[in-house]
Amino acid sequence: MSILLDSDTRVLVQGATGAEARRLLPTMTDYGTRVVAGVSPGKGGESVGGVSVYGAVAEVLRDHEVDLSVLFVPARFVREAALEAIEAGVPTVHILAEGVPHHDACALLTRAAQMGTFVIGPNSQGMVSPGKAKLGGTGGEVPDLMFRPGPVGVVSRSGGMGAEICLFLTREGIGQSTYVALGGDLLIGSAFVEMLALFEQDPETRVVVMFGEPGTDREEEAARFIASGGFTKPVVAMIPGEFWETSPTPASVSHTGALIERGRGAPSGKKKILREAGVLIAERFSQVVPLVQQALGQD
Amino acid sequence: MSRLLENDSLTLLGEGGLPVPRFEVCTDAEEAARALERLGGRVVIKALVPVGKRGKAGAVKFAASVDEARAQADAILGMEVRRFPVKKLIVMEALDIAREIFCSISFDAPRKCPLILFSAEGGVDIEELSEHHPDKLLEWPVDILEGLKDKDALELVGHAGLTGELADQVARAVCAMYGVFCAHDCEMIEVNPLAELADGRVVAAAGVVQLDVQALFRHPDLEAKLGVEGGNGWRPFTELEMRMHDIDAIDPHVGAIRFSELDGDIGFMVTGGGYGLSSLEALLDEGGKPATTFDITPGRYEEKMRRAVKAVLSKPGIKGLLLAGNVSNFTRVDIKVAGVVRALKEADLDFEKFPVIVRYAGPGVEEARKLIAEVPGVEWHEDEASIEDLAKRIVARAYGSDES
Repeated sequence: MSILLDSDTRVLVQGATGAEARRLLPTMTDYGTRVVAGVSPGKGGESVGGVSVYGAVAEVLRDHEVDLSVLFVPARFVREAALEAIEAGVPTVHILAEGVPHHDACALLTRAAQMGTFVIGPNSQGMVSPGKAKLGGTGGEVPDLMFRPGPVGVVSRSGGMGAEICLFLTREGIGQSTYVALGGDLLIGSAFVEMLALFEQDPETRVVVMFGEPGTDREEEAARFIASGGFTKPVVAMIPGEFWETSPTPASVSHTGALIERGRGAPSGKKKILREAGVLIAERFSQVVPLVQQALGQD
Repeated sequence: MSRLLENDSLTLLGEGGLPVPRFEVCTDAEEAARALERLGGRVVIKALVPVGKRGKAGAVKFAASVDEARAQADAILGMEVRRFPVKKLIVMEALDIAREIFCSISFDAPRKCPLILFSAEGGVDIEELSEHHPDKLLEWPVDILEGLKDKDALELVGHAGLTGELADQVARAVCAMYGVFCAHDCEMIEVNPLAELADGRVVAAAGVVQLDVQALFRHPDLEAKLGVEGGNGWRPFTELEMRMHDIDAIDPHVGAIRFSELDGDIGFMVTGGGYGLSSLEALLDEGGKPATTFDITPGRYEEKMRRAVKAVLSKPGIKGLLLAGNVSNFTRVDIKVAGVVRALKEADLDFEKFPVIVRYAGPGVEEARKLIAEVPGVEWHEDEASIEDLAKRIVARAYGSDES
């Protein structure tokens, strides 16, 4: 088992004829992802990597059932493309683009909430259920270097650190059930709580690793969810940036969500409330793997 | 930085239907004196700098005569406000303020919506309000698809305790602010104070507009106003930061650079938002003193990397260089390394003595390994090296405690 994505998940690729999709789509299908169709406005009838391209999402849905649409669409067209998938009733929309305007992200997330659409991203690097399927850039051409099937769910606000954590787990022989990059933007769809709820239902997942960042209250929400019994398996969390709280010189970080505002979103507070909820905190990167090993042994 | 100066902020708000005071921008005392004459003889003179808390810095002064205007303008022009030297002034007609109101609009990450913060008792800054008078700070989420309707704004100001004609005017002001927030893809607008004047009018006595840099492609006119005056948001750009800004500008379509110069002595060029932050924390833990932070978005950026590495190496007192990135999924690491290697070859340094530690993993790693081998003495790592391994190595070698 895995969450959100397995070898049976019927995937639609929006922005299928763009450069990003042309590069990455073959790596997805080679890995086992079941891509049923692509969409590019005005490019209906074309084909990319053996996948048929339609002009609109609604046209695809006349021929295929779709569980998830992954958007390779550039940031400036994300709002329109995501709303098209949401209005058409696609259950899960996965947005990869970095740099989506906040007003656009806000509008599409608001509509998704009304329609009950599950959104991952914007600015998600991708996701992978090792050995089954992968979406977006995650794993790229070297998926087996970073990922192998196993019992650990990994959720990260940073695509790079999620990949790095999976790499070190894999190097130690510890596989992953599903790894999801949530996206580093201020406004994103689902976050830790939604993923924990799914991992709770997944019998294969025995431990979850969360990589958080300064800013927002995604980690605090997760702590409250865990404390209230919403997630009952062991969790290991790493949240860097505590040095920032006392630094007179703010470091420049590329994630728009990584902003401590009005005292909210400080890593020290996040780690404290997570610890109180029973989460194992990795103060250093080198503690992540040993804590996962400990959690797997305990369980 | 994404923050507009106050003159541009007020112009934008004024065009959006929010009453703003008359003002002029001046660069010397004589201009300020002339502005006073044109603005009715009583003015407030403020430093035009891209940071707040000017009042606390003494950079906001009242003048009621041309002599006073000259003297105050001269005093403020000599100042530095929170590290920004004052080169321009904004001279505003003085307002007879009866009551101060606070209003801001920004995005709320937890609720995923625009959030209006409103207090019928403004004048103090938001940190002070939320810390000492959270009960007086009203949080009002807005459905972005519905927008802010007149009746919503009236309800909001009613909740905050305003009534009658004042409530009507303030509600209109809040609606105007929300209109500007949406029309110009703002990240944040703050009007503090939104002033009720003695004659009953409601005016934005001060305003800040922060734009969403991710939406500037829709607003080329506003992008032109941002310039480099805002520095990195808390101080003006240093010479090295300006140089990196120019390097970034050689190709706006490839690999956007984010760079800060710090006080330390280790060139820190570790890319990736989360990876860079984790590595910076590890470096500080090991006692390393970072001289820079550096990030570059993926792309074909060999030339930018070459120039960026050369720029960092030029920083006086630098003792070593750490170049690293998280394991790459798709972007070929040899492109980055090719630029690094060219820069290192061009530098007149002995890398047995000046430590350069490089770690990349992912596609292109074999080619990258070969390229690095062309520069004797450079320490190369791949996927086996963890964040802390690298921090320990650069600290040991740069600060001379390395025994190996």
